[in-house]
Amino acid sequence: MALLRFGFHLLEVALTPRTYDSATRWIITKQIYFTAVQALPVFLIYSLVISVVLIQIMVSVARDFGLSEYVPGLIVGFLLMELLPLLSVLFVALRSGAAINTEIALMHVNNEITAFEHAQIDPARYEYMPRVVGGVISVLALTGLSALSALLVAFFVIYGLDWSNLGNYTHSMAQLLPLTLVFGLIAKTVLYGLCVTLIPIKTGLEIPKRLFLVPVSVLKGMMRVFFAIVLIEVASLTFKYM
Amino acid sequence: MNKSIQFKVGAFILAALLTGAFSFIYLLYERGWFEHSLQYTLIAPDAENISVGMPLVFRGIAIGKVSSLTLSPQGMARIVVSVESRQSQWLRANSQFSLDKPLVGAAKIRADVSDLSSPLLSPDKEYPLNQGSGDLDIPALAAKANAILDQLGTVAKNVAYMTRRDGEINATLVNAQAITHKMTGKYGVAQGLLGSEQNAQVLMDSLQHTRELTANLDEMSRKLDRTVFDKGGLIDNANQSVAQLPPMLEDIRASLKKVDTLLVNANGLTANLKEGTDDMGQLRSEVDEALSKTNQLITKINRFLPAGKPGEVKLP
Repeated sequence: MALLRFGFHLLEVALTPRTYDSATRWIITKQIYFTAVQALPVFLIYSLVISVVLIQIMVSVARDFGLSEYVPGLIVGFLLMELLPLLSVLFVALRSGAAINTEIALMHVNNEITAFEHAQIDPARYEYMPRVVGGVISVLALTGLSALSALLVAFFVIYGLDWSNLGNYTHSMAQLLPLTLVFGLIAKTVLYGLCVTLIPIKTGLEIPKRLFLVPVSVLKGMMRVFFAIVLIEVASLTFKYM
Repeated sequence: MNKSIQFKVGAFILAALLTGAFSFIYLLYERGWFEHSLQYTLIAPDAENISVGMPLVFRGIAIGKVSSLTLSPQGMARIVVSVESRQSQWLRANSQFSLDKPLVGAAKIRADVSDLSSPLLSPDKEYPLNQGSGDLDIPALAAKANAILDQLGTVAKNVAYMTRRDGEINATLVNAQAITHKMTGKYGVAQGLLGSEQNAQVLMDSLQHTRELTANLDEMSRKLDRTVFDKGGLIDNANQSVAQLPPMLEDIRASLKKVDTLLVNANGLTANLKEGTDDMGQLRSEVDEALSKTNQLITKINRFLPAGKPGEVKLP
C-alpha cells in the first residue's frame, strides 16, 4: 500500500511537465546510461546466446516429433512473451536495482535526503523519479531489442541464410502477434521496470539510519523485487491463459 | 564525459525507438491494418467448432479469418470471413468452403477452387459451408484402427513364416531356379518340363523317329505311285490282292493322322508349356504306338510291293 502511494506520488511528479528541467534530464540520461547503454553489449550477447540455444532445441525437438509448424508459436509464446522479458528484468534488477537500493539507503542514512528536504528540494523530483523513469525506459528498450534480435536469430535458425523466406517468416510471425499481445507485453515490461526501481528506492528509505543496516536493506529490497517479478509473471500468465 | 554519455544515451534511445516503431508499423502492415479487407458471408447449419479468428486457408496458406458469427434470419449460422483485398483473387464464384477439423490441431475453414478463371466471389452473396462428416468418433476410429493393425500383424506373421529359412516359398524358389537352370541346359524347355536330360533325350529320339518315318512313308508313296499307277502296274493288272489295298491305305492314313497330331503336340510343347506338360505322358505312349504301328504297316506293304520289279508280283 505504502509502495503504491509512493508510486502514485512519483507518477504525479513524472507527469508534471515542469519537472523536466536540465538537472532531472541529466539524471535520467545518467540512469539510462548506467542501466542500459553500458550493459547493452553484455546483455545482447547473453540474450542472443540463450535465444540461439533455446530456438535450436525447439526446432530440432519439434522436427523429431513432426511438430515443426508449432515452433513459431512456441518462440513467440514462450521466448518472446515470457522468458526474454523475465531475463532482461532480472538483469536490470541485479545490475541497477541493487545499486539504486544501496545508493538511496546510503543517502538516507547519511541524511542527504533530509538535507534536500531542508533545502526545499523535492527528492522525488531529483532523486527518485529520474531513476524510475530511466529504469522503465531501460527495461523497455532492453526487452524490445532482445525480442527483436531473438526473432532475427529464429529466422536464421529455422531458414538458414536464405533471405527469400524472410517475407514468409515475418508474415507468419506477424500473424502470431496480435496487438493485444504486444500491448500486454509492453504493459508487463513497464510493470517490471517499475518494480525494479520503485521497490529498491522504497526499501532504501525504510531502514533506520544505521550504516550497518544498508546491506540488510539491499537484501530485503532484492527479495521484494524478486517476489514482485514472480508475482507479475504469474499474474500475466494467468491473465493470458485463463 | 557528459557529452559522450549524452550522445550515447541519445543514440541508444533513438535506435531503440526507431527499431521499435519500425517493427510496430511493420507488424501493423503485416496484420493488414493498412489494407482494405473484404467480407464474405458463409452459411452453415450450425457454428459448432467455428470460432472468431479461425483462419480461412487456401492451398494450406491462411488468406483470411472468421471475423464474426451471427444467426441468419432463417436460423442458420452466419459466418463472416474477412479476407485481405490482395488475397481475394483466390476466391471465385465456384469456390467450395469446408470445415477442416484435423484429429490433432486447430480447425480451419478451407477454400477449394477448381477453376481460377471463373468470376470473383461476390461479397454480397451468401455461400454454403460444408461441415464434412461432423465430429470424429475417436474411440470408434481407434477400435477400427486396432482391428486393422491386428490383421496386419497376422499377415506380417504369416509372411515371416512363409519366408522363413527352409520355408515353402524358399523351396519353391529353389525349385524354380533348378527348373530354369535345366531350361537353359542342352535340351532347353523340354528338359525343364520333362525333368531330366534322359527324358528329354527320349522325346528327341521319338521326334527323330517320326522324321525318319515320314521319310519312309514318302518313299513308300513314291513306290506305290510307280507300282500302282504306272503302265503294267497294279491297276492295270487288277487282282484280288489289290482289293486289300484300300483298308491298308486307310490304316496308313489313320497312322499319318496320329503322327500329324504328334507333331502338332510337339510344336505346341514350346508354345503352350502347361498343356504340353499335361499331355506329355500320353503323347509319348501315342508316339510309340504310332511308330510301331506304322513300322508294321510299312513292313507289310513292303512285303506286298514288288521291290522295283513289277514282274515279281504274284498274281492269282
